Amino acid sequence: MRTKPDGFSPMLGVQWLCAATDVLLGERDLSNVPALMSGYGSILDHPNARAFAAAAFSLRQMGIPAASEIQLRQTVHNAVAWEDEHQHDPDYLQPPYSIDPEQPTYPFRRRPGTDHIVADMIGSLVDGLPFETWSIPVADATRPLAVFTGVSDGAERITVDLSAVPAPPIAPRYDLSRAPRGPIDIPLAELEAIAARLDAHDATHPERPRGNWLSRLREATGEQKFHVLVPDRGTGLLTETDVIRLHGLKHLIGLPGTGKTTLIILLLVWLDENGYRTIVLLPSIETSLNLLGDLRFYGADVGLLVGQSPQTRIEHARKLAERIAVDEVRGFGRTTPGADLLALNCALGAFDADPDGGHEFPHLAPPCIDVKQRGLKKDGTAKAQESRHLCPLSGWCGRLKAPRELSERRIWLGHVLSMDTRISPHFAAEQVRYFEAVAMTADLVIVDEADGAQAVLDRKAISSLDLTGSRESYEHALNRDLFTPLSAGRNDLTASNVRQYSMAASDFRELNHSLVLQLQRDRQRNGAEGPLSRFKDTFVTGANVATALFCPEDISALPPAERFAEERRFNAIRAFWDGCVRAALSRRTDVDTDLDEYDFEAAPVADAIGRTSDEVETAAITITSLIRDWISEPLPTRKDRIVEHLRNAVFALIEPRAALSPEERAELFKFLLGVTTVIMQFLTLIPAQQVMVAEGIHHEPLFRQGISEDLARVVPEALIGRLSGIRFHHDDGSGRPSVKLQYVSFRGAPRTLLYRLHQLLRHDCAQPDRHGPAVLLASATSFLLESPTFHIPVGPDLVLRRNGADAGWRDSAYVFAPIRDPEEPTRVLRFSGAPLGQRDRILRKMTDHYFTGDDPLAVAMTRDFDPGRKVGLVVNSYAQVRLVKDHLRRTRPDLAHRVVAVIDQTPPGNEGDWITAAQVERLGLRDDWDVLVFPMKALARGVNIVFEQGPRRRDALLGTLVFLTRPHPATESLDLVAGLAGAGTLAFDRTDLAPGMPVNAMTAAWRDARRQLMAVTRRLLRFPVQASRLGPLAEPFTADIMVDVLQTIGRAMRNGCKARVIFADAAWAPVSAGDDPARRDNRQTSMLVMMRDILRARVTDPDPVDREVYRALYEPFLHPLERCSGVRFPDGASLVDE
Amino acid sequence: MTGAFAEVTTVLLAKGLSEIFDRIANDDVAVQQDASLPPTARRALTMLSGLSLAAAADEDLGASVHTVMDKACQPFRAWGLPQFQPPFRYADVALIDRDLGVPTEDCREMARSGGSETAAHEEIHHEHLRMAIKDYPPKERTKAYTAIRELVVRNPAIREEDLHRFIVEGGHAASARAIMSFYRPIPLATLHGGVAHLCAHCGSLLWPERDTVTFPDGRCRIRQCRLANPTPAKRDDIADTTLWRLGTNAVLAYWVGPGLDEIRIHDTLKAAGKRVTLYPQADAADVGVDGLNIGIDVKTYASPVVLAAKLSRSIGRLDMFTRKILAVPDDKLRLNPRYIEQLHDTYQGKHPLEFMTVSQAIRECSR
Repeated sequence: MRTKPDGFSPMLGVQWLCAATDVLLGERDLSNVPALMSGYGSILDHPNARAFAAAAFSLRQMGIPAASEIQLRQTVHNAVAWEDEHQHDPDYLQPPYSIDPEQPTYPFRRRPGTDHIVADMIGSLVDGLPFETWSIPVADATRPLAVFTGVSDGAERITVDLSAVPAPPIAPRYDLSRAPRGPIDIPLAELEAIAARLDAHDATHPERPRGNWLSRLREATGEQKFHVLVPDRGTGLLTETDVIRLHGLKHLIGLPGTGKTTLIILLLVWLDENGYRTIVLLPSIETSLNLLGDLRFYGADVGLLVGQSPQTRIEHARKLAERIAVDEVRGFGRTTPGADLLALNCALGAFDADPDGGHEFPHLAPPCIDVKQRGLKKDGTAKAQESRHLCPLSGWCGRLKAPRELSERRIWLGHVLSMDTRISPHFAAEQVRYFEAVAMTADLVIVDEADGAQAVLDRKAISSLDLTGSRESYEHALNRDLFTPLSAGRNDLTASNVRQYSMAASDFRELNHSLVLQLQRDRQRNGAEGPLSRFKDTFVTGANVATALFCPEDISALPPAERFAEERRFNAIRAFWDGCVRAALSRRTDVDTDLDEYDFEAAPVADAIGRTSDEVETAAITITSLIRDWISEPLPTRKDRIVEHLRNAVFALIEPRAALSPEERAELFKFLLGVTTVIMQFLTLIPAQQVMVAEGIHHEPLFRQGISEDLARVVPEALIGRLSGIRFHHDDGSGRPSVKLQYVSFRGAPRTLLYRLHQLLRHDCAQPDRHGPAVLLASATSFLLESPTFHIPVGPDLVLRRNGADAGWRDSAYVFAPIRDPEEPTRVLRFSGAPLGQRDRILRKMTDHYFTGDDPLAVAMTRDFDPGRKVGLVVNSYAQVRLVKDHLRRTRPDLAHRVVAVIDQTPPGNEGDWITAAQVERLGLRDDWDVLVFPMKALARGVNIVFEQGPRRRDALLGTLVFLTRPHPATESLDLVAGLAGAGTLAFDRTDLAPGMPVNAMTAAWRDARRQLMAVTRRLLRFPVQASRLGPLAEPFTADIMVDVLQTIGRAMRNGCKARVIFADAAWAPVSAGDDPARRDNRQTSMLVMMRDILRARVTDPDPVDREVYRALYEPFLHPLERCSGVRFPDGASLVDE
Repeated sequence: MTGAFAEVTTVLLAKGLSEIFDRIANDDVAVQQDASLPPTARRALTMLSGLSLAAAADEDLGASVHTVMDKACQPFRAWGLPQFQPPFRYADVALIDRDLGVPTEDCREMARSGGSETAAHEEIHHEHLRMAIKDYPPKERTKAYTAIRELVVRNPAIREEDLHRFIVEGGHAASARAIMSFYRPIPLATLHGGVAHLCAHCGSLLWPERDTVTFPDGRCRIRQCRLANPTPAKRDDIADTTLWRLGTNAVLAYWVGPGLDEIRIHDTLKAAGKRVTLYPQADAADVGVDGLNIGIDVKTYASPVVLAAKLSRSIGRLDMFTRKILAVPDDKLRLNPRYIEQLHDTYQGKHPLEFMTVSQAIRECSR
């Protein structure tokens, strides 16, 4: 968060845009502003726009919305309206620029006598804006303080008295003045010396498993186990290096099990010993804790970077508890390294002056930054009012240990999303987030599994939630977590916040039903051609329904003055309508007599829609009161009558679009009412989720907001812009047509953070000459051009290749082995693509296939391929895991306990055969199982299931993987959209625009890139994601899935082991599964063929370096895939299963 | 923070850990820090944080139940807190058997000994008082016990100088520490804009209430006082609260509350010319009439069944008296007109007890 320049008023933000384009670029209109303000490196680093870069950075930090034509229009209109309203004020100062809002390019001219003002504005913009500082004082522990339980919890006052205990230590502050040390050269020989030292340290602790570090680097023969290779683009060769140089942005790739983790750990110890500050971003907090335990043991100065919101902390604490609870004592008398960093209990509670007062101290949402105390006046007497203070225990308490320690730790371990956490005011003077602190002060950032981190960041751009109409919907969760338990006897849930939430949730349910009812009726009456069909599968917001109802078809065709008037009218309608609905929803029983509590003013609205203020005020009060009646009325017929009155009242004030028929007007109006109320009610429930998680109502937050405003301001806008609203689709699958509502919002391009971190603040003149950290993006599957989600389009700069790795993977075997349907032996079992109603049966039959007989196939497979290694059954979801496991408990009770299921929540009475993903790694220590059933996504990255002891230590424990289902995202998944939007945005951010290109041509290039990407994403948003309907998008779709498949197979290749992979679902290659030997699968019919073709294209890449890297990466998969028995490949390269 | 605080912390911790263990045994749930953590355990953890800060320890020992689980496998003396060093009575106790992952026998026993935090404090008060009395000459012990209990019950809030005068003039120097430990400074949470309000009925304090319309002067925290006197009344303002002390919550709940009726019986019978003693024979009964002739015990249990079960197990030293009267507050009959009848029906003890209300007891003994 940055300070705003003196004299800045958000309503006049456009004046600053005018000043910057005028002075820095010599332009006379705002036509290029959206492209410039979108924050693209390709534009702002271009010689012809560079002069604007520092100003663009500042303007974006000031939060002036102008990154699209729509935003710019709003910003211009705001300023013009403000001038109109205030020009007669006695202290009115005319702003320096006069803007013509009627021209689409918004030409402006500088008013005479304002040069000095403009010069000051430009000075602020190009000098940069310093970070805002915190101004919350620390409470005085010697005087009484108070904390309050949450507002929804009754806001009980709790007096706290610390006067009897010694003064707590003062909290350390983060030092933002530290500068990165520059390029880092790491001689590999020194890593070997470290490996020897770690081995020696291990030898002194026989109670702990040994790391055997040296033997991870060298064979007993002395030969190196892996080589670090550097591409030489000149010769097209990968050459071995003995020094790793880290500087700027580097991309390191290595197959799973080539020693990447070993290298990273040794690097970290080296970096720590050499005084470097390193941030390591890992796939999860659990992986971070594992590494933290090891590094702490070896004496490294290491801390945990973890999100600090109460709900994030509760989630991490729960996962930690699951990890600790791995054995039958369920965590009683157990702990784990790092548990001290995820503590939840608040020490302040000990000093509650009235512990029997009947209130509950808010341990799960403690008052760290909101302790109340009367400040002191200059004369030392207390002020009359209490104000907000920081808790005086932050320098000591256990709950804040992790963030407190970070300020002094050399190595930080955490998750990439933890970077978007604001540093607590206890530990920083400035309002700064971790990613900013890292960009300013760290020497190195290592992103492990960087392609996964990229996908996580992409998904953070999209927030979505089914509102109703599916098992995953919010409404269903409300029933499951709140209403059902309440009605089934958990009526001890009497906290006022739970009651309040429950009432709001029940209103939400009603509003949803009313909207769904309207959509169903519309379809019953009008089929696919009804008045609402135009909104199907698009983003629906109150604004676009209002446009359809009140505005001319195409305002861009109007003459400028009319267009301007129309835009003003529309803005006024929106403000008016939203204001009325909000007033009705938030103050349910009020009877208003004026507009004091409405968030719009009558006069400007009246002016824009051609009415008097009195008319607007009277109408607003009537409309709001009718909306209140509509919400409360239980009888449908009376409800309909109220809508009629409401419609008449609105239309009497605002004329609807003339071309609409009366029926269309009525339907659109009702739809407007439904959509606005559902969205607003949903948004009021969201903030309460956090408290409900703390109360134990919901297990985890159901809807997560996207990235922070601070992060959005340092990465470019997404090329597809910002979207938010609801989508609805009809589903006829089950024979009963149903409607699903989904809330979606899209903002920003967070993946670019990874590519910018080494120079994130390069345009920030408040931090002059500040270099960024080196960034190392590391992964096994981050280099696959066809995959929009996972491909990392830089380098590769470092490649790890295992010596003699060939030996293992050359013996890998892939088999396509569809299963005959026992009930219909002419057919094979096809799971993916089967009607929903049949899938459970198919999965059970598949399970039977592997578990029937005296020596069932699944158990035999632990012996007939690399004996001793176990079998993994891969499915798509936890529900499928549950189905397989439950089926086995019924059909093979003798075997079921040897089949371990990976599940999100372990059931009661579990005897260790149900585990969570956090407990999987411990399987290496157990020998009471043969088969592991898991959903593919649950166990991909960073999870190592390896022999923990014995001669095969660190070898992959899983030898055979059976893909029972062909992986497929849910049809409403937005992952592919997110990946394509992220990849498209990144590509434009990094593109090289021709050096001589003028700024307006850059704008044109930006528009063109936007148009292309929008066309693709619109298409995806319109239809459910189904492989068969994707057309040309099938390739990126398959490539994305393939990365997850390869990651999963990679679990069985740790330490260079061979793997057997069985594709059991006929959907993998349906034609080959058929009986006609003359017919062959092709790219369109078979994902296996498409995967092979993608890999083949890569290993024959024309670029010699890329080709060699691709070979090193993908041959271990391509080699067995090309020989996959059972698939009839289109080019005849097939092996028939003997 | 007193030694009692450390003791109560460990007792609550034992209780909290036992509750966690029972939940694991019954529901097979993992040890969690979230809302499912039993309130006793959470309170014990936060008190442990309090002890850590009071000892200026480097680490906040109470922040995580997991790290506490680990510590609890060692004796308290190894926790690194000075308050847990000998002569701390539980210094040698480890609460968890690490190998088996179960509470130790000591843990179970400690958990059984204490009820709530307040009840644990009460037991400690009782013990402090008994220990203090031991140092008196044998003949004086009974008298001293009665005097001290009576002081506390009649003065739940007391001026500090009055307390000192009682100690000095009453010759209670030997039990000064114990007596002081029954009181605490006036808590900030009781103040109404810097001033404390004395309850006109029981002499304790009226605590501020959110509902200032119904309770403009605040509300008494002593349940028995509220039941007997539904309308709160203020006696005085205490302007300089630093000169006053208030009974601990345990004293208010377990001594003052039940004591209101004990005092009433005592005072009424005395006025009627009877030979009565409060807490005769160091609390063998609440009120003794004519030496060991009649012993009256006042019990304020909400449930006659629970009370009967308790009495069936033991009536304590009430059996010393010829007539044994078990009196319950009058208001019990307001809520449950069959209280006495049910008590009578479910009592299965061997001693003949007379069950009646306090008013009936007064009438009975005044004859």
